Amino acid sequence: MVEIISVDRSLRDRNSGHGVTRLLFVGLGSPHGDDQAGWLVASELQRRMAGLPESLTCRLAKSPSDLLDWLDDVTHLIACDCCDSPAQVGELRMWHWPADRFVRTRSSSSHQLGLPDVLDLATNIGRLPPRVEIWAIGGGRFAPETEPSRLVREACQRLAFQLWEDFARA
Amino acid sequence: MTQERLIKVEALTRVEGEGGLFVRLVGDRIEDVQLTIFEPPRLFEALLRGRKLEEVPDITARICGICPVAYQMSSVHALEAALDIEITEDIRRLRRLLYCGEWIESHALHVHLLHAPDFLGYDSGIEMAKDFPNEVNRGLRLKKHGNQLLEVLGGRAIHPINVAVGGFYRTPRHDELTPLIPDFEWGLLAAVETTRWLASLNFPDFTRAYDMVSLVHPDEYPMNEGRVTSTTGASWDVRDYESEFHEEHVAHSTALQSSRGAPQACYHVGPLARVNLNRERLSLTARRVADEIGFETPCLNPFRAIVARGLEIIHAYEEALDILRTYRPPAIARVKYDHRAGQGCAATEAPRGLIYHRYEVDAAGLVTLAKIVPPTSQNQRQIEEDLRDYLPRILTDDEAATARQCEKLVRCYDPCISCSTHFLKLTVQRDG
Repeated sequence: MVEIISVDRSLRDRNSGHGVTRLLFVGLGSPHGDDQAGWLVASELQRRMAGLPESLTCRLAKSPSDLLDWLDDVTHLIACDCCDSPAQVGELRMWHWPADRFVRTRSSSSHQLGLPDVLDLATNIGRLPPRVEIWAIGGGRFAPETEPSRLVREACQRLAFQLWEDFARA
Repeated sequence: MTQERLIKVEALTRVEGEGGLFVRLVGDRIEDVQLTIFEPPRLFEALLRGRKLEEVPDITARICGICPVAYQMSSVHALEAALDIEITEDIRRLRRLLYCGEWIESHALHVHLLHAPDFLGYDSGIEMAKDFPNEVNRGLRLKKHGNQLLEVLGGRAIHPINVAVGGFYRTPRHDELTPLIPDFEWGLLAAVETTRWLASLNFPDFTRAYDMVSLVHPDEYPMNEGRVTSTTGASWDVRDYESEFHEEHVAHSTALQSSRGAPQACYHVGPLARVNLNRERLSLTARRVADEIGFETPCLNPFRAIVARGLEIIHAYEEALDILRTYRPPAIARVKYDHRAGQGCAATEAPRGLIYHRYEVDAAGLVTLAKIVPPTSQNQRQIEEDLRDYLPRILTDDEAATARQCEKLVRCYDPCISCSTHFLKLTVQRDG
């Protein structure tokens, strides 16, 4: 069963860690409606990068497999993407990988790997960072080249701000 | 009463696009073999009609996310033939560099994640990675190099946008290409290791008297031009392609099937055909490795196509390094031209095999006709014939096992049906 936890608890969990952290934040998305959610969070964090530690890298990605190029020396990965269901539009959800059970859907392509497949592959080739969190933002409309909904934009702002506060304190 | 059996692979896995397999047997006699392609037609040729010829490379690149360069470059060459444009040697070298990038990324993905699991007993590359992490890591790194080259030259790794009729919209600066050299030096060595590893796999003992077809160029390993040549000894100027090679519609496929000659017969395109017809034009290291691993040509075992891909990865790295090390930005990014009515055709070598394009344009520079023959449509009938021949050797009462063996043979061709959803569902029907 997927665990739904609050942003606050996630941040507390993260702050309880020890040692030097090289943190990679990856916002996954596409230019299609609410699917821009991951990009919006990443863009907002990048905008605020001046106040963030140098050990944080923040990237935008179209495909989860892009992650495989960026994992070297990363100790903490946070991936953020939009999800269609069962989350409500604008709802935030977070999973710890691989501890939390994750609902998998069939890949839409044999040549493109979904996020769980990429994380499995990273595990099997010994490149999975010790800590992995997945943030999902509930979305509802995905028409090509449309703007994200107000609820999703607000959720992205909320998540970006809270992550930024947490990173700044780290 | 003789029992009729149907073996169906509803959707082939680890191939590009939506296709399935249907086999009908009566007893142990094979009555019918069909490579079913049910993906909706994408109608690119109709889509291109009426468009400005300058739009064609960007549109044809959209045909495939794995081999967009072959599609856009074939269209560019054909349009340049129609307009009688002669490109400069500098532009030609950059185009070959772009091809190297595509071959590296496409072949590296196929051999490591899609095809090698077949020979090692895994259902997926992800599963195989548990026991072969170094090999998979190496494959991912090789693929990344190919993508990096496409990004620098093509503007982005998937569906590049920098290819223009007459050349490129922008040529890379020296300091954009030369930083790739250390990675490509590592990649060449890694490609040699990959090919040695591939050659060590166990291959089914299966050979056929193939008619293999690829481009042949007198001075270089074929990528972007040459004569269309068969292992039978026949060869044709690209302008005669349509008089020798034919396409027809069959009920079980939304892709046209190709055949050649009279009577019309199937033929085989792809890396195995290229290596068989061009071994002496492989790069020095690729030739040495081919000798070292005992890769005999002509090789008529389709399962060994994975080794041919390895040799081509070596070649692509070595040629890319040669171009990177001597690169000077061209004086001009693209050749100027005037619109005029005309027609032109071209054939190039996609990772999966020969690809043919023909266009007609009017005096205003609009496309009035487009014809595109991808490699997979040329291999379709050959795959069916292979299966017809291979099935008696692998047929057992275990339909699932038989279906898996059939899929392995299909994957030797790295079919590029298109990028889409897949799942494997086996249906067995027994009558009588």
